[in-house]
Amino acid sequence: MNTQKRSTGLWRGLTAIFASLLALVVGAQSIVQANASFINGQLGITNYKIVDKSDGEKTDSIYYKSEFSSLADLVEAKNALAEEIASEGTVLLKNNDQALPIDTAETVTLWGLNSVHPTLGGMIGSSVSVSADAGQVQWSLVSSLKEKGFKLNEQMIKLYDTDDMTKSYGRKNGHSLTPSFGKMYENASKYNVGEAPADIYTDDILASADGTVALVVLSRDSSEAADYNPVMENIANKQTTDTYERPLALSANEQAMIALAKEHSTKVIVLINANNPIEIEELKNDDAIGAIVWCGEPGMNGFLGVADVLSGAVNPSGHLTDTYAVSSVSAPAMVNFGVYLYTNNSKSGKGDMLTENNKGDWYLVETESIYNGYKYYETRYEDAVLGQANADSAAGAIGDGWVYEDEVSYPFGYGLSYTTFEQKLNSVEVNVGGVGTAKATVTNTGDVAGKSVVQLYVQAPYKAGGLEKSAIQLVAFGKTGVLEPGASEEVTIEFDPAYFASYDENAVKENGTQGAWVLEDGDYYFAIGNGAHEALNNVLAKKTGSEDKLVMTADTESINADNAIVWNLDKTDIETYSVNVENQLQDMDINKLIEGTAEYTTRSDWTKGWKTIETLTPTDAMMVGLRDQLYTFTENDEDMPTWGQSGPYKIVDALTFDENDKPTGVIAFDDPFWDELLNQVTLDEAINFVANTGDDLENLDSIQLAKVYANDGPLGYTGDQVGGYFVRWTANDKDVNPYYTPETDPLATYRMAAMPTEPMVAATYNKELVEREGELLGEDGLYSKESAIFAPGLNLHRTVYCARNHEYYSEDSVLMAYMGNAVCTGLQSKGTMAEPKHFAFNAQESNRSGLSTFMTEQAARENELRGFQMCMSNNTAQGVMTAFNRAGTSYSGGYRSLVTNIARNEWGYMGWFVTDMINGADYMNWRDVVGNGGGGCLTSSAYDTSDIGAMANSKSLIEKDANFQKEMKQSLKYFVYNIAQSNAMNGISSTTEIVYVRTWVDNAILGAEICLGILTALFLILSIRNDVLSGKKKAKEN
Amino acid sequence: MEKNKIGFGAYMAIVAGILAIVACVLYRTVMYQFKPVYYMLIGAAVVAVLGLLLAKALPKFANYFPVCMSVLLFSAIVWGSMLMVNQIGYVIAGLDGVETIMSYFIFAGFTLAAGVVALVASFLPVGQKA
Repeated sequence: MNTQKRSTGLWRGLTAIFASLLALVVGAQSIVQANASFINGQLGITNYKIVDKSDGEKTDSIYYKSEFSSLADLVEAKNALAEEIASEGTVLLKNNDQALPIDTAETVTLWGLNSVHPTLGGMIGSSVSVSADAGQVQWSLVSSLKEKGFKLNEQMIKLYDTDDMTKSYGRKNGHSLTPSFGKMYENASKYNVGEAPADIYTDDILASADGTVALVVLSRDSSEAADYNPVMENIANKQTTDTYERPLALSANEQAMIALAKEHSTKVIVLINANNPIEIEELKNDDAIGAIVWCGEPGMNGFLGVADVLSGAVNPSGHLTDTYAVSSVSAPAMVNFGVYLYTNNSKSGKGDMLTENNKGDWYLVETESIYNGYKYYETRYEDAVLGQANADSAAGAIGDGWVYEDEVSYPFGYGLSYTTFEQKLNSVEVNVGGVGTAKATVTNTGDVAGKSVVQLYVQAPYKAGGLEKSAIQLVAFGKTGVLEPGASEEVTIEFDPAYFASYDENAVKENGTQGAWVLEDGDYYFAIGNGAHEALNNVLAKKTGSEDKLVMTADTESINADNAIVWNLDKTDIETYSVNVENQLQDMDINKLIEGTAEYTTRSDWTKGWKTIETLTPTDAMMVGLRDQLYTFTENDEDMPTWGQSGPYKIVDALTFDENDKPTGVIAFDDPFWDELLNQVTLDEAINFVANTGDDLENLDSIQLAKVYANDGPLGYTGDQVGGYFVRWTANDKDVNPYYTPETDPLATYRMAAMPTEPMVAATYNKELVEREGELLGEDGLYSKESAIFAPGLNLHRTVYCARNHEYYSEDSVLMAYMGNAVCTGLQSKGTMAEPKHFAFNAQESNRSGLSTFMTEQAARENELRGFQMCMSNNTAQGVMTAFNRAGTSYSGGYRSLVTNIARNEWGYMGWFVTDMINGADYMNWRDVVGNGGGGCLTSSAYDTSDIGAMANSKSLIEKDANFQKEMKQSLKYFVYNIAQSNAMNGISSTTEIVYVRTWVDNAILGAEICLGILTALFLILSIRNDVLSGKKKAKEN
Repeated sequence: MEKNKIGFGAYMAIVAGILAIVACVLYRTVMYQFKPVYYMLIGAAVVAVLGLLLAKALPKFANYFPVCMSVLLFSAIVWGSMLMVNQIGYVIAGLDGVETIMSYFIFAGFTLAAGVVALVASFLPVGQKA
């Protein structure tokens, strides 16, 4: 009896064990399925293979070919290009008494703990990592200087380069910002500059520096999902070790270190290793500081190029992409930056409260209007010079009154060379509705060979109290080749007048619609100059005939009225650039939603625009967007789209060829072929595609489209997401694709994110170089089986406190537009789809998820959107990632005014849209995204936590809503149309077929489930049998 | 009439049930939550109580309750991780702080403890002859 009881317990217990294991495996199977792409990639397996059914007669199906004969050649070319970009992107700001270049025979002492822990890139999408296994080298400042023949003071390096020093004061791998995906209800409060106090320098150490050249390194780092804030404190290792007025001002330890460097060296060179402009006015004015060099965050190879500039092997030709203001908080944009809460936020307990799932608690009002970066400083300067509009008042001024030289250290576009150049603007021809041309002659008047940038600016006519206009704006730029001393070159610059038109929200066009791009009648002053300020001085000299009140920010600036040319427009033009244009973003202007809320910065009175919008209560209309109700399903069945129709087409049939079978592109977008092709796609496939796109673009079996891969980021495919060239390949690709890279390849794990960060790329002012960057990133796509890249970043540097500025080019939208278009063009030429991000208005990282962002429509269009416009209207961008934030109160990815009305209808954009990563937040829901033309959803494992749930679960609603289906199908068409024009087609021909196979992981899981199921059933049966037997036995005994 | 008594397995099941309730409370602090996990945890606790109530009346039936509990609890662990996979990946990649996943691991720890206790209880009688 007892034995039977015991064995019943045993069988029951074993049942429990195996049933529990079965439950674990079944759950694990779901996780594996949800992350199959990642797991398969890591394991080098795939669930499909491409089979050639041509009876051995293969056609050439490699439509995008590499220019390199091997991966090793590509890697070498990329490293060399990264070095070249860094050398051209290094900006010389000050060079007294030829402090630079440094003679490599002299000993150099590196000063500053950050000299051994410099920042190479930002955290997350632009992170820098190397593969030691593949023999990859991360070039630090120290190793770069040594590589380039510099003799370094090793004693100082030894002092800095210890674990103890890093632990006590330093930044881990050059970073101390803390990225956070969480919600913020307060501004970030801690930032460690990473500098050690002066008492670490012993007499011996200081003596070792005597008689050497001091190279002082000042660093600030960058990160996605983080921001600086003026109120931060320096806290390292849980204790305060340093102090500063602001994190972007010099800290006490930095100042003390610089003082020591000045005492113990023959000359002092300051190297600024930061993408966020820091406050360096005191260094600029300090005669003991011989030179100041900006090198941004140069990536894994960039310090080699920086070293070339320091040694004079390369003559610097870079120019600033952001204004270096005396105070980092003086711009009007800083008045509204950071964390602001709606009164009915989810923590408030008040009224019609928002919920946490709405992610709608925060707002940001960009009260600076169009006056971002230099557009503020230079416009106010002109008005101060001309005595207009209270420009010299104390409002927003550092001192008692606003004085330009007290406000700006180095203006936008500024940069020096080791030689001198004379630039002469020869002519400007403007062709409204066509291409304008400017010609300038550049002569090297010094004694060193070098390149020179010609920056063309314009001042459009401003009428007091009228349309807001910047006193100066960049139109276009060109760069010479290397000019030998005495040599000249005529630089021809082409430009599109659309890029200096102003947006007038009140203009009514001939067709009666309101809102237009306007070229107002009057004099347009085109000018060149070493930066925006010099160009404006040239304009003012021309305009006023006097240089009396003009201010130069550096001895190297000059004023030359002859370098300004006037072009007159006799009649205001509101039609030429306004085809399909009308007001779209009126609900982004908080004053149109709640009257009188914001006081915008205005040229008519500079005392306005300095108020912080501390509180805001959303109206009922605003709550629609805040409550995530941008699309409502209806039952409508007119013109119900066709799905799942049988047909003969494959996606590869879209390709077109010339008479020699050379690929020429794809069938035109409006050809009925695309409808026939997409009619074959089933509704389930379409739902799966748009609901789960992003990192992988899902397969569409019905048209023989396999999965397509896309990843971050602006420096190249980041190692965090794509751990090397081999990751996406499987053995099945070996015979199909010549760029197949097996795991055994010596360069298999080589990290691809090799380029400098975007501000440094933009600082080259060299479009050809940047297009070449795009080409080589595109080559990476070929060799890594990636077909799209989340790059470039095209958000505006609205404030210097955004810690993600490293992923964006500049405070100027035109510079951004040219650079973005150049990199997209290069990528496209290699079949890798560029996917610029984040469309649009992702101006800060604090609470970027769901942040309501308000501004005037004029500001939105002339600043942020202009940066995206060029690559999107040229369709060199084939995909665009929408932003985390809301535009007004509507989620940007579901904001029809933006993604459909402006991007599609005004610009003619024909690429796809995809959201940023949806992480269980209701506001980024598939319904609002797809229903409003926002394309696909980049999802994560947390998608199902949103109240709206997974898209597949709402199929019954979708089936009844023809309008929704049409939007979905149109989005799908943009995806398929562009994928057909990408390297994803390589290896696929009309005779190949995609065949699905089970992976060994699938088989292993199924096997485990069967075994555990059998064992569970067996022990359950034994257990029940024992129970039954014992029951019978007991009955007998009774 | 034969008299039955409450077995040691019932008490262990109650311990597992209490741990499941604690895990349920802790799950509220996890960054990304999957609603069915709550049902699994509460279900396990309810089954524990039912076991105690039915131990005397239906001992053979009640003896299988810890088996159900262990299945529910181990399911809760794995389904609870379903939505945290990406976040755990971010932490491993150094992109986010470990504090963002700690609450998941604490929840998983309690649920695991509850599951193990339920497994042990499965070997023991919940109800037995007095």
